[in-house]
Amino acid sequence: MSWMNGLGTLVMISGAFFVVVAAVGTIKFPDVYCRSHALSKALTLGIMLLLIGYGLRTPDVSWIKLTLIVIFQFVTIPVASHLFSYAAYKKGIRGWSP
Amino acid sequence: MTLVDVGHFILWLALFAAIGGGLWRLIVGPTTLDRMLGFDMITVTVGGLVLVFSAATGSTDYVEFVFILSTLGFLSTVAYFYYLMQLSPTDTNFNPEEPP
Repeated sequence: MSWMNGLGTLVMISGAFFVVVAAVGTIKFPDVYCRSHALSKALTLGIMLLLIGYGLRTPDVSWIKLTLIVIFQFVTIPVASHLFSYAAYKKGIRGWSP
Repeated sequence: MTLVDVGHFILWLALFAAIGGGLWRLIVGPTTLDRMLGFDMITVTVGGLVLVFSAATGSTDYVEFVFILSTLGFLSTVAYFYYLMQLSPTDTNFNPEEPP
């Protein structure tokens, strides 16, 4: 189906947009706390949209595996971001103030 | 060159730009935590790149590879922070304000 192909490509492009937003936040923000915050939120949404677009593009994919990967990303990326902030707080890195 | 090929080109360009941003943060990050943050971002984005490749070729053989890749990145991050938490606060091996 051709329109399914186009819809999947559109969803994947929106996911790549959110990944680029995460990269811009990682480059431009001034602090470890701000950077981990931007990375966690935008990257989770971006990788979820990439997986859904791939599932729409490919007809004979197993949705159980894709759902499992989405749940895994939802668990692990915020845990890693929390680890960054926890380690920065424990090691005494001071937050950025304008 | 159809419209879907243009979409693939945009996807390659965007994800490689994101990996370049992560590499830049990995190189110039002022503390070691910034470097680990760039590493974490690169692992997840490489998973997205594998997804774009398998969507362009239409195969379903690489879905498990995304899972394994994100698992390895997360476990290496956790192992690094476990090592970092074992150091005492006055250890000279870790100075948060200077590059290691």
